[in-house]
Amino acid sequence: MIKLLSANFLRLRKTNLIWGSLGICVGLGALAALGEFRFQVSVGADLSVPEVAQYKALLEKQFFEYAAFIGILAAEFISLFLGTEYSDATLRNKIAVGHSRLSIYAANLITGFAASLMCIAGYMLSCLAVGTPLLGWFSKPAPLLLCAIAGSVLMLAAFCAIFTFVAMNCAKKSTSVVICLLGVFALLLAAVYLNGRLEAPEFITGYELSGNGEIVDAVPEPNPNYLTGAKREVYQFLYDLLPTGQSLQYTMLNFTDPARLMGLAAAVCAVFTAAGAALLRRKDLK
Amino acid sequence: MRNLLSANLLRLRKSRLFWGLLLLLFGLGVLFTLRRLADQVRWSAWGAQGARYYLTVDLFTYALFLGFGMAAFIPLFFGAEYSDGAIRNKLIAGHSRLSIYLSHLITSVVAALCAAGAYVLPVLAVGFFIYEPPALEAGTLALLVLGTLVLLAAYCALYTLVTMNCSRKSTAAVICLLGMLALYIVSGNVEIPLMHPEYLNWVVTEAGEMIPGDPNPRYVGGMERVVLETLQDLLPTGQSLQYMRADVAHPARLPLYALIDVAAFTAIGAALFRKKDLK
Repeated sequence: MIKLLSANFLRLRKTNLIWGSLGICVGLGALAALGEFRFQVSVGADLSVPEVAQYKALLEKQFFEYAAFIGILAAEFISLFLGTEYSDATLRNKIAVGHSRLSIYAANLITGFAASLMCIAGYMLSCLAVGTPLLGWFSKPAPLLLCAIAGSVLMLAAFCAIFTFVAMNCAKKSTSVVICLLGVFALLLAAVYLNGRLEAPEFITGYELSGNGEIVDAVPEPNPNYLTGAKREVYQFLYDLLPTGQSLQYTMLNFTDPARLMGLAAAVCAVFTAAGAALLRRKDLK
Repeated sequence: MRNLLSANLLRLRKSRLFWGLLLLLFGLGVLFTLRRLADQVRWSAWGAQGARYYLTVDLFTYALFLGFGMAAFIPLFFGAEYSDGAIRNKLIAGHSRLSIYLSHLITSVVAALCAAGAYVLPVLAVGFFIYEPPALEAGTLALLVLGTLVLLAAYCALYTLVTMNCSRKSTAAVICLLGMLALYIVSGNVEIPLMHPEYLNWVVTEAGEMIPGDPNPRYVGGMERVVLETLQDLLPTGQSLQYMRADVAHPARLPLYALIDVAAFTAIGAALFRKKDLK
């Protein structure tokens, strides 16, 4: 296992793919902080006005943006990196020299996770380096920020488990790339839809004309789009379960139960790893 | 050229990937229509006003789906020409590189049109009972339909450019899919400043006339607006966003710009392919 890991890390170090992905993350981190600063400047600096105060530039508004795109980057990176194991027949060579399929699977999962972690570390460091002088330090409490960081790392592990599952059980590199990328796009759309349904207000207030011709707020009426009862529970569960749903919550720093999110991410990671390793054990590697 | 086309179309007909794409688009068409039906049932308590959807709300959504769908389909389908050595065989059999390139482009456009048809079919069939007829003039509607079809050709031309000049199928797929996403992000960001209204409010005079109130400091006007609008109309993803909302400021201009896209992508792609070392 250690030999497999060291071989994987050596290959990782020599591939342009990881350096390219890291470069993208570092660039995006710096751009996010700069963009936040520029936005506040364009809105105006008079923060005493309540309408403007909501646009106050805050480091935490951009610091967790990585959660939104790291799934896409990991999908591309893991499927290409692990797909090469099939196309170059490295997988068979590893088995031929006596490594078990389980240890190969675990080593590949750890390598993909480590590379993705490196990418988010690159984003965080560049966002901090550019953002702290321009925007100041975080304004939210440290426990919340630490929870978000720990939770997003577990979310990343769930993403990596899913992509490793696909890449290790699909012998065609191009097919696994397409499945992973289109899959993550589809899951993102699903998460946005779930979020939209869950955020629907309970009551809708329209406008109506009063007797003397003034426009006044109408009596609030129940919103048919508002989810209630078991249906709301199911939507909330799916939103918390999907790694893309979690990524939206961490990006917006809008989550109520971090322990539940972390537990679900760990469960997704465990289920996909167990299923992926079991499938690989039976797979005909030709 | 005709031989190449008939060979490509035969391969298309036998491809599970192609039938999978059609099935996916058909399923999405059914899903969207059923979602509107569920919305109507939910909103029925609000009377007819809450339950009205114009057909154009969902009709052109294929312009978005096929942007992604073709980004996956074209590299997978035509990338196999490289990996299986079919391109070299075609050259050995005496076909020119240009005719090979064009036959691939035409085949991909045919596949995209079939997929669009698979989406539109359930939307029109089931939606006939659900949607209100489009609140547009027939001429404008025809321009929108024509525009989305040329837009599909523009997407196909872009992905054919990448696929025919990238000998690795997986790399071509990544470039097409992530490129598509990047273009969407660009178009989304170009659209934001264009959405700001010119005035913050409107004032009613004593004579009952509406006159513009305070100017909006975030409104983009002049040359900058012209440049942003042109960019939005020229980018296939910018066009997709406009068609999806069926809110198109220049319905006659978009098909023209999409044709320019097709011509430009094809000229660049064919020129690069002519010089490519096929090993």
